[in-house]
Amino acid sequence: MGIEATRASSILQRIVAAVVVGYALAVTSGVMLSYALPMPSFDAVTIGILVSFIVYVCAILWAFASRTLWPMWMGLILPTLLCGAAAWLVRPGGGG
Amino acid sequence: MKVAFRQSMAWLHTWCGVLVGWALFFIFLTGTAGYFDTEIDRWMQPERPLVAEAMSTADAVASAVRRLQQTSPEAARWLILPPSGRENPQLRIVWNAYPKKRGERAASGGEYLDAVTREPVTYRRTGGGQLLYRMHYRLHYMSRGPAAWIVGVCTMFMLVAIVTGVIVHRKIFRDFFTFRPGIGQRSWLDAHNMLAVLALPFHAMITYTGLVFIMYLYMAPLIAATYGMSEQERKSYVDVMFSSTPGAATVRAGVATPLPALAPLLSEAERQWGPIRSVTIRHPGDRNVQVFIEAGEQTLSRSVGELRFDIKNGVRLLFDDDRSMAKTTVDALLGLHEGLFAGPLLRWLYFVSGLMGTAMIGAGLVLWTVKRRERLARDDKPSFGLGLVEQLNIGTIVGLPVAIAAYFWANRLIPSHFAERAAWEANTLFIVWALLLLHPIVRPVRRAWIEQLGLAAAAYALLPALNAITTDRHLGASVPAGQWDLAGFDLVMLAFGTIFAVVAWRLMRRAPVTAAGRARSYTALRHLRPAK
Amino acid sequence: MMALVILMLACAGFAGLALAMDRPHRQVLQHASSAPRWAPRLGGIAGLALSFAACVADAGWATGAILWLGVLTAGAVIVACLLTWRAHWLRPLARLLEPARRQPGRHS
Repeated sequence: MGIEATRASSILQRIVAAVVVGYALAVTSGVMLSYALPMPSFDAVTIGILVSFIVYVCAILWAFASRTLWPMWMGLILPTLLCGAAAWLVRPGGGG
Repeated sequence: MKVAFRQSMAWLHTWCGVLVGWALFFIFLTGTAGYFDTEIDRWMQPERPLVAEAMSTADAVASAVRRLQQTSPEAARWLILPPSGRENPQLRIVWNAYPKKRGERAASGGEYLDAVTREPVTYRRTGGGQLLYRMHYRLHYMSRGPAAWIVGVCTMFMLVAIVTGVIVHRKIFRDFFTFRPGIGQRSWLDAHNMLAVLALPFHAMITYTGLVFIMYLYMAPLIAATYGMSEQERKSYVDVMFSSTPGAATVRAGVATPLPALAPLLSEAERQWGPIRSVTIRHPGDRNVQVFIEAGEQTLSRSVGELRFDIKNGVRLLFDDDRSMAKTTVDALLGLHEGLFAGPLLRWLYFVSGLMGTAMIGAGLVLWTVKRRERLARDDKPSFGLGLVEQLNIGTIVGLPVAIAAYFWANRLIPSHFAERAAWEANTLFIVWALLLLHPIVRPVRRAWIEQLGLAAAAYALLPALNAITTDRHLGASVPAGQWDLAGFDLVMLAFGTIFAVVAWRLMRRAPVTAAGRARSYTALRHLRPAK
Repeated sequence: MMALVILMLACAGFAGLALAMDRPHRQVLQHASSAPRWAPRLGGIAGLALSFAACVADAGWATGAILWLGVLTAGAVIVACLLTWRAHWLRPLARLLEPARRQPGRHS
């Protein structure tokens, strides 16, 4: 019984991580890219969006491929925070 | 390490398939039908002339303008679609009035004009092939927003399924041509793999580009991050995404001015780009009139030549070659998905690839049940999940095609003067589908497959006969007249009917797969195994 | 007409590539390949390359490339169906692509 609950919890965590944090990672990485690209707004945002879909797919695969849960969460949350910070730094009209 | 990775990807692949497989089947099947949407439109309006009278563009536009001046001289916009090529088989006019109040929807109307009498004609109201294909992203009975989200989620599932499928398929090159029929689970796996791999460029392209159509919704935060949070600011991104070269819109000056001569403009446009697709006139009869003439042929990146005229600036010729790289890329991705640029051979290849994708999803769903059935010991009852999936499979993989045939039957059987007939054609599709989803509940699995396959065979094969009984646009008329898009519809229906009949027949004759039968098949095919 | 040429080249190409593989070769000729692989493989690649050239000649670079991908699907499906149900139809092509090399004691 304990093993089933653990497995169910593991699957549930992976689903939440994939759907929610995966989307967050896709968005932050896309925003970072669109800020960093030296192009007109439309072009930069478009490339950011096209790449973000691929990032989302990779994030989903990572959420289910990663063997243990703790690295799984960190492997999604850390890049999201890093991309968010980088986006903030390179934002137009703002920092570096 | 690698084994665990493959296993988790296989698990993910299976779940992606089982959760949304039936929705994806619907999306793929209706979308595939869309590659012949105008051909389906034509079949569903048999009142259209059998052979379109040739009409010069200048003549067509002049007749259209005469009619528009009768119906809506004070319109905000006139749209004239002269008969040309695949997209516009018939002269069509549309008018839009000025909105009475700001933000209100303006009155509008449209008509088809007969090529000989130049008078308006009415054909039976129908959604046609356009409605069928629009269902693949609009679904039905719901507004745009929820449909976009549902289809978007399903598309992401499909994308994950494709990537995980490639990861999991170990012998993708070695098994490239492998299909071993008649061994149960292995055969279904071979079929699923083959339908997937042999059309893999199409499946990957269609899925990814599908996301691009509504990317402004799915990734709205990315747009907001650069353009601003308000809906107005985000709309400016969407406007660029879907517009061709932007041009300043004018307002009505209120000074009555005769319409500029259109014939020289038309001949200039035709000289540049060949047949034209549309003529748009904003503020007709006013000094600030604007004329836009759009070329008929579309390139892969959806660019079309456009001639613009207004009294102040004269004639300007525009071709979308000053688009940015990103805009060209987006347009190319959308163009690839729609396939409007494709000639006849490529259009058929799109259609076949789409059917392969649909069949791939179906084969995957059947594989899931066959695998679990084979695992059952002789007297075990199937689990609730297995039973449910088997029923949904029958009702969708065979039931949905029957429902689409029912849509065509409804088109011929619902009286042509009935006002709500377009809506009821669509209702027929979904009512029949619902009934066929319920049918397997009360029948044994094998029986249900055979019965629905037989029904599908009849529904498709008898459609040309129904056509002959109810109209005079049947094969006996369309073939001698060389109207191959009309005849093609009937012939393709016959072909589908035949395929369903053959499958039903073979399923009836074949004894249920047993363990002993499988062993015999393995022995017979042993000579094809590589000598270890 | 051009469409037929494009399709046939693609089919020939895939048939060649198939014959360079164990299982399909066995399906066509009933025995394992004793000849070197490069001959059918080269023939196969040549067939596919020619079909690409024909596509581009017919429809330009962009549309031609897309057309070629679609044609590849059609050609592969045709060859796969042949191998499953009418493998012996490919025997003439197999004989053509295989440099004649009879081994004593083996029956063709």
